[in-house]
Amino acid sequence: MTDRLTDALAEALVSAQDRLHALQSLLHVHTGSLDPADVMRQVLAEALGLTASDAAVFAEPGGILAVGDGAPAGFAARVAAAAGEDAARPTCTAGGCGVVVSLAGPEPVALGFARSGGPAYSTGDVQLVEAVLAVARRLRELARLHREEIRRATIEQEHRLASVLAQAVLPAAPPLLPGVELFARSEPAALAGGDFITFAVRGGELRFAAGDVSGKGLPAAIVMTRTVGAIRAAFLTCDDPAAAMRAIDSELYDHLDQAGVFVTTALGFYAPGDGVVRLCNAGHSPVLSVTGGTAVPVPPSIPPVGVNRAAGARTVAVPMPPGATVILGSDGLTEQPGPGGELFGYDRFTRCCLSGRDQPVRRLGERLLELVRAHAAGTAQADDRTLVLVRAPG
Amino acid sequence: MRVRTDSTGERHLVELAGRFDAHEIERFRLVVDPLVGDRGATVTVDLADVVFIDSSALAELVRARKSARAAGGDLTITRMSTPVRVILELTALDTVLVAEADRSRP
Repeated sequence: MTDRLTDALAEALVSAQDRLHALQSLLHVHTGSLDPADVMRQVLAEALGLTASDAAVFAEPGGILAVGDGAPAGFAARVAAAAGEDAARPTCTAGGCGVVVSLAGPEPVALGFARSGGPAYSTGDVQLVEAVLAVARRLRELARLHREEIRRATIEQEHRLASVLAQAVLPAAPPLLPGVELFARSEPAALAGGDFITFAVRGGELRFAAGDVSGKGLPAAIVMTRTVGAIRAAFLTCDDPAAAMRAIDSELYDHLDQAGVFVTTALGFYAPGDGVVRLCNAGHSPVLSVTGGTAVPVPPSIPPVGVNRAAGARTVAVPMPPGATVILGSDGLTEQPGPGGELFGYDRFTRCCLSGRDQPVRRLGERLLELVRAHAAGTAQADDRTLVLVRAPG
Repeated sequence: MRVRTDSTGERHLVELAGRFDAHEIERFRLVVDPLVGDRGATVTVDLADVVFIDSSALAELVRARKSARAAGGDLTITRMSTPVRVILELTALDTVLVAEADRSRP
Protein backbone atom coordinates (compact mmCIF):
# COMPACT_ATOMS: atom_id res chain seq x y z
CA MET A 1 0.00 0.00 0.00
CA THR A 2 1.35 3.39 -0.91
CA ASP A 3 1.90 6.10 1.67
CA ARG A 4 -0.67 8.27 -0.03
CA LEU A 5 -3.35 5.55 0.16
CA THR A 6 -2.53 4.83 3.80
CA ASP A 7 -2.67 8.52 4.60
CA ALA A 8 -6.03 8.83 2.84
CA LEU A 9 -7.44 5.85 4.71
CA ALA A 10 -6.13 7.12 8.00
CA GLU A 11 -7.62 10.53 7.33
CA ALA A 12 -10.99 8.96 6.46
CA LEU A 13 -10.96 6.88 9.66
CA VAL A 14 -10.00 9.85 11.81
CA SER A 15 -12.62 12.07 10.25
CA ALA A 16 -15.28 9.38 10.73
CA GLN A 17 -14.29 9.13 14.39
CA ASP A 18 -14.32 12.91 14.65
CA ARG A 19 -17.82 13.07 13.24
CA LEU A 20 -19.02 10.50 15.72
CA HIS A 21 -17.50 12.30 18.68
CA ALA A 22 -18.79 15.62 17.47
CA LEU A 23 -22.31 14.26 17.08
CA GLN A 24 -22.20 12.78 20.54
CA SER A 25 -21.01 15.96 22.19
CA LEU A 26 -23.53 18.03 20.25
CA LEU A 27 -26.40 15.80 21.29
CA HIS A 28 -25.30 16.19 24.86
CA VAL A 29 -25.24 19.95 24.76
CA HIS A 30 -27.40 20.74 27.73
CA THR A 31 -29.00 23.95 26.69
CA GLY A 32 -31.46 24.35 29.55
CA SER A 33 -33.27 26.68 27.22
CA LEU A 34 -36.44 26.38 25.19
CA ASP A 35 -35.72 29.37 23.00
CA PRO A 36 -34.70 28.15 19.52
CA ALA A 37 -32.19 30.98 19.04
CA ASP A 38 -30.53 30.20 22.38
CA VAL A 39 -30.31 26.52 21.51
CA MET A 40 -28.71 27.27 18.16
CA ARG A 41 -26.19 29.67 19.72
CA GLN A 42 -25.08 27.04 22.22
CA VAL A 43 -24.82 24.35 19.58
CA LEU A 44 -22.75 26.62 17.33
CA ALA A 45 -20.44 27.57 20.21
CA GLU A 46 -19.85 23.88 20.88
CA ALA A 47 -19.31 23.22 17.19
CA LEU A 48 -16.62 25.93 16.92
CA GLY A 49 -14.30 23.76 18.97
CA LEU A 50 -15.28 20.59 17.19
CA THR A 51 -14.54 21.99 13.76
CA ALA A 52 -11.50 24.04 14.81
CA SER A 53 -13.25 27.18 13.60
CA ASP A 54 -13.16 30.76 14.83
CA ALA A 55 -16.59 31.86 13.71
CA ALA A 56 -19.90 30.33 12.73
CA VAL A 57 -22.88 31.89 10.99
CA PHE A 58 -26.39 30.40 10.79
CA ALA A 59 -28.87 31.90 8.33
CA GLU A 60 -32.62 31.19 8.19
CA PRO A 61 -35.72 33.02 6.98
CA GLY A 62 -36.00 34.75 10.37
CA GLY A 63 -32.50 36.24 10.36
CA ILE A 64 -28.84 35.55 10.99
CA LEU A 65 -27.09 34.17 14.07
CA ALA A 66 -23.33 34.57 14.47
CA VAL A 67 -20.97 33.28 17.14
CA GLY A 68 -17.21 33.81 17.54
CA ASP A 69 -15.21 36.28 15.48
CA GLY A 70 -12.50 36.34 12.92
CA ALA A 71 -14.74 35.55 9.97
CA PRO A 72 -13.61 37.20 6.71
CA ALA A 73 -15.50 40.29 5.55
CA GLY A 74 -18.75 39.48 3.78
CA PHE A 75 -18.87 35.94 5.17
CA ALA A 76 -22.22 36.41 6.90
CA ALA A 77 -23.72 37.75 3.68
CA ARG A 78 -22.29 34.83 1.76
CA VAL A 79 -23.97 32.40 4.17
CA ALA A 80 -27.28 34.29 4.01
CA ALA A 81 -27.18 34.16 0.22
CA ALA A 82 -26.58 30.42 0.36
CA ALA A 83 -29.77 29.74 2.35
CA GLY A 84 -32.25 28.26 -0.05
CA GLU A 85 -29.73 27.44 -2.74
CA ASP A 86 -30.26 23.88 -3.58
CA ALA A 87 -26.56 23.22 -3.20
CA ALA A 88 -26.19 19.47 -3.09
CA ARG A 89 -22.62 19.81 -1.90
CA PRO A 90 -21.09 22.17 0.60
CA THR A 91 -18.84 24.82 -0.85
CA CYS A 92 -15.56 26.23 0.33
CA THR A 93 -15.00 29.93 0.31
CA ALA A 94 -12.42 32.51 1.23
CA GLY A 95 -9.59 30.50 -0.16
CA GLY A 96 -10.53 27.43 1.86
CA CYS A 97 -10.87 29.29 5.16
CA GLY A 98 -14.63 29.10 5.09
CA VAL A 99 -17.13 26.34 4.43
CA VAL A 100 -20.85 26.78 3.77
CA VAL A 101 -23.54 24.12 3.69
CA SER A 102 -27.13 24.82 2.81
CA LEU A 103 -30.46 23.03 2.88
CA ALA A 104 -33.40 23.95 0.68
CA GLY A 105 -37.00 23.10 1.56
CA PRO A 106 -39.88 24.85 3.34
CA GLU A 107 -37.43 26.46 5.75
CA PRO A 108 -34.23 27.09 3.77
CA VAL A 109 -31.20 27.43 6.03
CA ALA A 110 -27.46 27.71 5.64
CA LEU A 111 -24.57 27.21 8.04
CA GLY A 112 -21.05 28.52 7.58
CA PHE A 113 -17.84 28.10 9.57
CA ALA A 114 -14.71 30.20 9.09
CA ARG A 115 -11.13 30.15 10.26
CA SER A 116 -9.11 33.34 10.59
CA GLY A 117 -5.91 31.42 10.01
CA GLY A 118 -4.52 27.90 9.95
CA PRO A 119 -5.17 25.08 7.47
CA ALA A 120 -8.00 25.10 4.96
CA TYR A 121 -11.08 22.99 5.69
CA SER A 122 -10.59 19.39 4.66
CA THR A 123 -13.17 17.01 3.23
CA GLY A 124 -13.57 15.56 6.69
CA ASP A 125 -14.15 19.02 8.15
CA VAL A 126 -16.83 19.65 5.56
CA GLN A 127 -18.65 16.45 6.42
CA LEU A 128 -18.46 17.42 10.07
CA VAL A 129 -20.12 20.72 9.28
CA GLU A 130 -22.93 18.87 7.50
CA ALA A 131 -23.44 16.72 10.57
CA VAL A 132 -23.52 19.82 12.79
CA LEU A 133 -26.22 21.38 10.62
CA ALA A 134 -28.38 18.26 10.83
CA VAL A 135 -28.05 18.02 14.61
CA ALA A 136 -28.60 21.73 15.18
CA ARG A 137 -31.83 21.67 13.22
CA ARG A 138 -33.06 18.66 15.14
CA LEU A 139 -32.31 20.24 18.52
CA ARG A 140 -34.11 23.44 17.54
CA GLU A 141 -37.17 21.49 16.47
CA LEU A 142 -37.23 19.61 19.77
CA ALA A 143 -37.03 22.88 21.70
CA ARG A 144 -39.92 24.27 19.66
CA LEU A 145 -42.08 21.17 20.25
CA HIS A 146 -41.35 21.27 23.95
CA ARG A 147 -42.40 24.91 24.17
CA GLU A 148 -45.58 24.16 22.25
CA GLU A 149 -46.37 21.35 24.66
CA ILE A 150 -45.89 23.58 27.70
CA ARG A 151 -48.14 26.23 26.18
CA ARG A 152 -50.85 23.67 25.53
CA ALA A 153 -50.61 22.25 29.05
CA THR A 154 -50.89 25.76 30.50
CA ILE A 155 -54.01 26.49 28.48
CA GLU A 156 -55.56 23.18 29.53
CA GLN A 157 -54.91 23.91 33.18
CA GLU A 158 -56.45 27.36 32.89
CA HIS A 159 -59.50 25.83 31.22
CA ARG A 160 -59.87 23.30 34.04
CA LEU A 161 -59.61 25.98 36.69
CA ALA A 162 -62.08 28.26 34.90
CA SER A 163 -64.53 25.35 34.67
CA VAL A 164 -64.29 24.64 38.39
CA LEU A 165 -64.85 28.32 39.19
CA ALA A 166 -67.87 28.52 36.88
CA GLN A 167 -69.51 25.41 38.32
CA ALA A 168 -68.85 26.65 41.89
CA VAL A 169 -71.74 29.07 41.40
CA LEU A 170 -74.17 26.13 41.70
CA PRO A 171 -75.47 25.33 45.19
CA ALA A 172 -73.86 22.38 46.94
CA ALA A 173 -77.20 21.62 48.59
CA PRO A 174 -80.66 23.19 48.58
CA PRO A 175 -81.62 25.40 51.56
CA LEU A 176 -83.28 23.87 54.61
CA LEU A 177 -86.65 25.52 55.02
CA PRO A 178 -89.41 24.18 57.24
CA GLY A 179 -92.54 23.26 55.33
CA VAL A 180 -90.89 22.40 52.01
CA GLU A 181 -88.91 19.40 50.82
CA LEU A 182 -86.25 19.97 48.18
CA PHE A 183 -84.05 18.00 45.81
CA ALA A 184 -81.49 19.69 43.54
CA ARG A 185 -78.80 18.25 41.29
CA SER A 186 -76.95 19.47 38.22
CA GLU A 187 -74.54 17.28 36.31
CA PRO A 188 -72.64 18.99 33.49
CA ALA A 189 -71.84 16.93 30.40
CA ALA A 190 -68.29 18.32 30.31
CA LEU A 191 -66.12 20.08 32.91
CA ALA A 192 -68.48 23.03 32.80
CA GLY A 193 -71.80 23.79 31.13
CA GLY A 194 -74.71 26.18 30.76
CA ASP A 195 -77.24 24.52 33.11
CA PHE A 196 -77.90 26.15 36.47
CA ILE A 197 -79.94 25.99 39.66
CA THR A 198 -80.24 28.69 42.29
CA PHE A 199 -82.18 29.24 45.50
CA ALA A 200 -82.88 32.14 47.82
CA VAL A 201 -85.03 32.55 50.92
CA ARG A 202 -86.61 35.92 51.53
CA GLY A 203 -89.12 36.69 54.25
CA GLY A 204 -89.70 32.99 54.83
CA GLU A 205 -90.51 32.45 51.15
CA LEU A 206 -88.50 30.11 48.97
CA ARG A 207 -87.38 31.44 45.61
CA PHE A 208 -85.95 28.96 43.12
CA ALA A 209 -84.82 28.80 39.52
CA ALA A 210 -83.45 26.32 37.01
CA GLY A 211 -82.32 27.04 33.47
CA ASP A 212 -80.05 26.40 30.52
CA VAL A 213 -77.78 28.70 28.52
CA SER A 214 -77.69 27.84 24.79
CA GLY A 215 -74.47 26.25 23.59
CA LYS A 216 -72.05 24.06 25.54
CA GLY A 217 -68.93 23.99 27.63
CA LEU A 218 -66.98 26.83 29.17
CA PRO A 219 -68.44 29.67 27.05
CA ALA A 220 -71.98 28.67 28.10
CA ALA A 221 -70.77 28.34 31.71
CA ILE A 222 -69.42 31.88 31.70
CA VAL A 223 -72.78 33.27 30.60
CA MET A 224 -74.38 30.98 33.17
CA THR A 225 -72.47 32.53 36.06
CA ARG A 226 -73.60 36.00 35.03
CA THR A 227 -77.18 34.75 34.67
CA VAL A 228 -77.20 33.26 38.16
CA GLY A 229 -75.96 36.58 39.54
CA ALA A 230 -78.80 38.43 37.82
CA ILE A 231 -81.40 35.94 39.08
CA ARG A 232 -80.17 36.13 42.66
CA ALA A 233 -80.30 39.92 42.57
CA ALA A 234 -83.86 39.76 41.20
CA PHE A 235 -84.83 37.27 43.94
CA LEU A 236 -83.75 39.77 46.56
CA THR A 237 -85.56 42.76 45.09
CA CYS A 238 -88.74 41.44 43.43
CA ASP A 239 -91.96 40.17 44.97
CA ASP A 240 -93.31 38.32 41.97
CA PRO A 241 -91.78 35.84 39.47
CA ALA A 242 -92.82 37.82 36.37
CA ALA A 243 -91.34 40.99 37.89
CA ALA A 244 -88.16 39.02 38.62
CA MET A 245 -88.09 37.81 35.01
CA ARG A 246 -88.38 41.40 33.74
CA ALA A 247 -85.58 42.49 36.09
CA ILE A 248 -83.39 39.63 34.81
CA ASP A 249 -84.18 40.58 31.22
CA SER A 250 -83.31 44.17 31.95
CA GLU A 251 -79.96 43.13 33.41
CA LEU A 252 -78.98 40.52 30.81
CA TYR A 253 -80.65 41.26 27.48
CA ASP A 254 -77.95 43.40 25.87
CA HIS A 255 -75.21 40.98 26.91
CA LEU A 256 -77.09 37.93 25.60
CA ASP A 257 -78.11 39.72 22.41
CA GLN A 258 -74.55 40.71 21.66
CA ALA A 259 -73.19 37.26 22.51
CA GLY A 260 -75.82 35.63 20.29
CA VAL A 261 -76.99 33.28 23.05
CA PHE A 262 -80.22 32.85 24.97
CA VAL A 263 -81.16 31.43 28.36
CA THR A 264 -84.20 29.28 29.08
CA THR A 265 -85.33 29.56 32.70
CA ALA A 266 -88.22 28.86 35.02
CA LEU A 267 -88.55 30.84 38.27
CA GLY A 268 -90.71 29.93 41.26
CA PHE A 269 -91.78 31.62 44.48
CA TYR A 270 -93.25 29.39 47.23
CA ALA A 271 -94.29 30.32 50.73
CA PRO A 272 -94.67 27.06 52.69
CA GLY A 273 -98.26 26.44 53.71
CA ASP A 274 -99.69 28.85 51.12
CA GLY A 275 -101.07 26.00 49.03
CA VAL A 276 -99.86 27.62 45.82
CA VAL A 277 -96.57 28.12 43.99
CA ARG A 278 -96.11 31.06 41.62
CA LEU A 279 -94.11 30.29 38.51
CA CYS A 280 -92.80 32.20 35.51
CA ASN A 281 -91.38 30.21 32.59
CA ALA A 282 -89.24 31.64 29.79
CA GLY A 283 -88.82 28.95 27.16
CA HIS A 284 -87.82 26.24 29.65
CA SER A 285 -88.79 22.57 29.75
CA PRO A 286 -89.59 20.20 31.29
CA VAL A 287 -91.56 22.06 33.96
CA LEU A 288 -94.22 19.87 35.56
CA SER A 289 -96.79 20.21 38.31
CA VAL A 290 -97.68 16.85 39.87
CA THR A 291 -100.80 16.91 42.03
CA GLY A 292 -102.95 13.94 42.91
CA GLY A 293 -102.77 11.58 40.00
CA THR A 294 -101.94 14.05 37.26
CA ALA A 295 -98.81 15.65 35.86
CA VAL A 296 -99.42 18.92 34.06
CA PRO A 297 -96.75 20.75 32.08
CA VAL A 298 -96.31 24.45 32.86
CA PRO A 299 -95.67 26.04 29.45
CA PRO A 300 -93.58 29.18 28.89
CA SER A 301 -95.28 32.57 28.72
CA ILE A 302 -92.34 34.00 26.80
CA PRO A 303 -89.40 32.71 24.72
CA PRO A 304 -85.99 32.32 26.41
CA VAL A 305 -84.31 35.44 27.81
CA GLY A 306 -82.19 37.13 25.17
CA VAL A 307 -84.57 36.50 22.27
CA ASN A 308 -87.09 39.30 22.80
CA ARG A 309 -87.58 41.82 25.59
CA ALA A 310 -89.53 40.08 28.38
CA ALA A 311 -92.46 42.43 28.55
CA GLY A 312 -94.95 39.60 28.10
CA ALA A 313 -93.75 37.51 31.06
CA ARG A 314 -96.65 36.16 33.11
CA THR A 315 -96.84 34.67 36.60
CA VAL A 316 -98.83 31.43 36.80
CA ALA A 317 -100.29 30.28 40.12
CA VAL A 318 -100.01 26.50 40.38
CA PRO A 319 -101.84 24.66 43.19
CA MET A 320 -99.58 23.05 45.82
CA PRO A 321 -101.81 20.90 48.05
CA PRO A 322 -100.00 18.62 50.52
CA GLY A 323 -98.01 16.01 48.64
CA ALA A 324 -97.83 18.04 45.42
CA THR A 325 -94.53 18.42 43.60
CA VAL A 326 -93.18 20.97 41.15
CA ILE A 327 -90.47 19.55 38.91
CA LEU A 328 -87.95 21.58 36.96
CA GLY A 329 -85.71 19.53 34.67
CA SER A 330 -83.50 20.32 31.73
CA ASP A 331 -83.56 18.93 28.22
CA GLY A 332 -80.41 16.95 28.99
CA LEU A 333 -82.79 14.54 30.73
CA THR A 334 -85.55 14.26 28.14
CA GLU A 335 -83.27 14.36 25.12
CA GLN A 336 -80.68 11.83 26.24
CA PRO A 337 -80.35 9.25 23.47
CA GLY A 338 -79.90 5.56 24.15
CA PRO A 339 -77.67 3.14 22.23
CA GLY A 340 -80.29 2.85 19.47
CA GLY A 341 -80.64 6.61 19.16
CA GLU A 342 -84.07 6.77 20.81
CA LEU A 343 -84.51 9.77 23.13
CA PHE A 344 -85.61 9.33 26.76
CA GLY A 345 -88.53 11.59 25.86
CA TYR A 346 -90.91 13.99 27.57
CA ASP A 347 -93.67 11.39 27.81
CA ARG A 348 -91.46 8.88 29.58
CA PHE A 349 -90.13 11.60 31.88
CA THR A 350 -93.66 12.64 32.80
CA ARG A 351 -94.72 9.03 33.43
CA CYS A 352 -91.72 8.47 35.72
CA CYS A 353 -92.48 11.65 37.66
CA LEU A 354 -96.08 10.54 38.10
CA SER A 355 -95.27 7.00 39.19
CA GLY A 356 -92.85 8.30 41.83
CA ARG A 357 -95.06 11.07 43.17
CA ASP A 358 -95.37 9.48 46.62
CA GLN A 359 -91.68 8.84 47.06
CA PRO A 360 -89.58 11.13 49.23
CA VAL A 361 -88.06 13.80 46.97
CA ARG A 362 -84.54 12.56 47.54
CA ARG A 363 -85.44 9.10 46.38
CA LEU A 364 -87.51 10.33 43.45
CA GLY A 365 -84.76 12.69 42.34
CA GLU A 366 -82.07 10.01 42.43
CA ARG A 367 -84.41 7.58 40.66
CA LEU A 368 -85.17 9.96 37.80
CA LEU A 369 -81.48 10.61 37.24
CA GLU A 370 -80.75 6.89 37.43
CA LEU A 371 -83.45 6.13 34.86
CA VAL A 372 -81.93 8.59 32.40
CA ARG A 373 -78.48 7.15 33.04
CA ALA A 374 -79.80 3.63 32.48
CA HIS A 375 -81.47 4.71 29.26
CA ALA A 376 -78.17 6.11 28.02
CA ALA A 377 -76.66 2.67 28.73
CA GLY A 378 -73.09 3.67 28.02
CA THR A 379 -73.88 6.30 25.36
CA ALA A 380 -72.11 9.55 26.15
CA GLN A 381 -74.02 12.10 28.21
CA ALA A 382 -75.43 14.36 25.50
CA ASP A 383 -76.06 17.50 27.54
CA ASP A 384 -76.04 18.87 31.10
CA ARG A 385 -78.63 17.16 33.34
CA THR A 386 -80.44 19.30 35.89
CA LEU A 387 -83.30 18.43 38.23
CA VAL A 388 -85.09 20.41 40.95
CA LEU A 389 -87.98 18.97 42.97
CA VAL A 390 -90.08 21.19 45.25
CA ARG A 391 -92.65 19.40 47.43
CA ALA A 392 -95.29 20.48 49.88
CA PRO A 393 -95.09 17.87 52.64
CA GLY A 394 -98.20 15.85 53.13
CA MET B 1 -76.15 18.84 7.09
CA ARG B 2 -77.22 19.62 3.52
CA VAL B 3 -77.86 23.26 2.71
CA ARG B 4 -79.67 24.32 -0.48
CA THR B 5 -80.69 27.79 -1.45
CA ASP B 6 -83.13 29.07 -4.04
CA SER B 7 -83.30 32.81 -4.63
CA THR B 8 -85.67 35.00 -6.61
CA GLY B 9 -84.75 38.66 -6.31
CA GLU B 10 -85.05 39.53 -2.63
CA ARG B 11 -86.76 36.30 -1.63
CA HIS B 12 -84.51 33.47 -0.57
CA LEU B 13 -85.46 29.94 0.39
CA VAL B 14 -82.95 27.98 2.45
CA GLU B 15 -83.57 24.24 2.77
CA LEU B 16 -81.71 22.31 5.45
CA ALA B 17 -81.57 18.55 5.86
CA GLY B 18 -79.95 16.31 8.46
CA ARG B 19 -78.63 17.30 11.91
CA PHE B 20 -78.45 20.99 12.70
CA ASP B 21 -76.14 21.23 15.69
CA ALA B 22 -73.15 23.26 16.92
CA HIS B 23 -70.87 21.76 14.24
CA GLU B 24 -73.07 23.10 11.43
CA ILE B 25 -73.24 26.72 12.61
CA GLU B 26 -70.23 27.85 10.57
CA ARG B 27 -71.69 26.57 7.30
CA PHE B 28 -75.12 27.95 8.04
CA ARG B 29 -73.59 31.39 8.62
CA LEU B 30 -71.53 31.27 5.43
CA VAL B 31 -74.70 30.69 3.42
CA VAL B 32 -77.24 32.79 5.30
CA ASP B 33 -75.26 35.87 6.42
CA PRO B 34 -74.90 37.23 2.86
CA LEU B 35 -78.63 36.65 2.30
CA VAL B 36 -79.84 38.44 5.45
CA GLY B 37 -77.30 41.20 4.91
CA ASP B 38 -79.09 42.34 1.79
CA ARG B 39 -81.42 45.20 2.62
CA GLY B 40 -85.06 44.12 2.73
CA ALA B 41 -84.40 40.46 1.98
CA THR B 42 -87.01 37.87 2.99
CA VAL B 43 -85.41 34.59 3.98
CA THR B 44 -87.51 31.49 4.53
CA VAL B 45 -85.95 28.47 6.19
CA ASP B 46 -87.34 25.00 5.49
CA LEU B 47 -86.59 22.51 8.28
CA ALA B 48 -88.86 19.68 7.10
CA ASP B 49 -85.88 17.34 6.70
CA VAL B 50 -83.98 18.35 9.80
CA VAL B 51 -83.95 15.34 12.12
CA PHE B 52 -82.31 17.03 15.11
CA ILE B 53 -81.77 20.62 16.21
CA ASP B 54 -79.93 21.81 19.33
CA SER B 55 -79.81 25.05 21.33
CA SER B 56 -76.77 26.38 19.44
CA ALA B 57 -78.67 26.02 16.16
CA LEU B 58 -81.77 27.68 17.62
CA ALA B 59 -79.65 30.58 18.92
CA GLU B 60 -78.18 30.87 15.42
CA LEU B 61 -81.65 31.10 13.85
CA VAL B 62 -82.58 33.81 16.36
CA ARG B 63 -79.40 35.70 15.54
CA ALA B 64 -79.98 35.43 11.80
CA ARG B 65 -83.54 36.70 12.23
CA LYS B 66 -82.33 39.71 14.23
CA SER B 67 -79.80 40.49 11.47
CA ALA B 68 -82.47 40.20 8.79
CA ARG B 69 -84.81 42.53 10.66
CA ALA B 70 -82.04 45.02 11.36
CA ALA B 71 -81.55 45.20 7.59
CA GLY B 72 -85.24 45.84 7.00
CA GLY B 73 -86.07 42.26 6.02
CA ASP B 74 -87.17 39.11 7.85
CA LEU B 75 -86.36 35.47 8.42
CA THR B 76 -88.98 32.84 9.25
CA ILE B 77 -89.18 29.09 9.45
CA THR B 78 -91.73 27.67 7.08
CA ARG B 79 -91.87 23.88 7.26
CA MET B 80 -90.70 21.81 10.23
CA SER B 81 -90.15 18.15 10.96
CA THR B 82 -91.96 16.89 14.05
CA PRO B 83 -88.92 16.99 16.37
CA VAL B 84 -88.21 20.57 15.30
CA ARG B 85 -91.82 21.64 15.81
CA VAL B 86 -91.85 20.07 19.29
CA ILE B 87 -88.74 21.97 20.36
CA LEU B 88 -89.93 25.26 18.91
CA GLU B 89 -93.20 24.95 20.83
CA LEU B 90 -91.59 23.87 24.11
CA THR B 91 -89.33 26.91 24.02
CA ALA B 92 -92.03 29.28 22.70
CA LEU B 93 -89.58 30.08 19.91
CA ASP B 94 -92.34 29.26 17.45
CA THR B 95 -93.94 32.59 18.41
CA VAL B 96 -90.76 34.29 17.23
CA LEU B 97 -89.41 32.22 14.36
CA VAL B 98 -92.49 30.72 12.72
CA ALA B 99 -94.99 32.74 10.68
CA GLU B 100 -98.40 32.69 12.33
CA ALA B 101 -99.94 30.80 9.45
CA ASP B 102 -97.46 27.94 9.92
CA ARG B 103 -97.83 27.52 13.68
CA SER B 104 -99.90 24.64 15.04
CA ARG B 105 -101.34 26.51 18.00
CA PRO B 106 -103.69 29.52 17.71
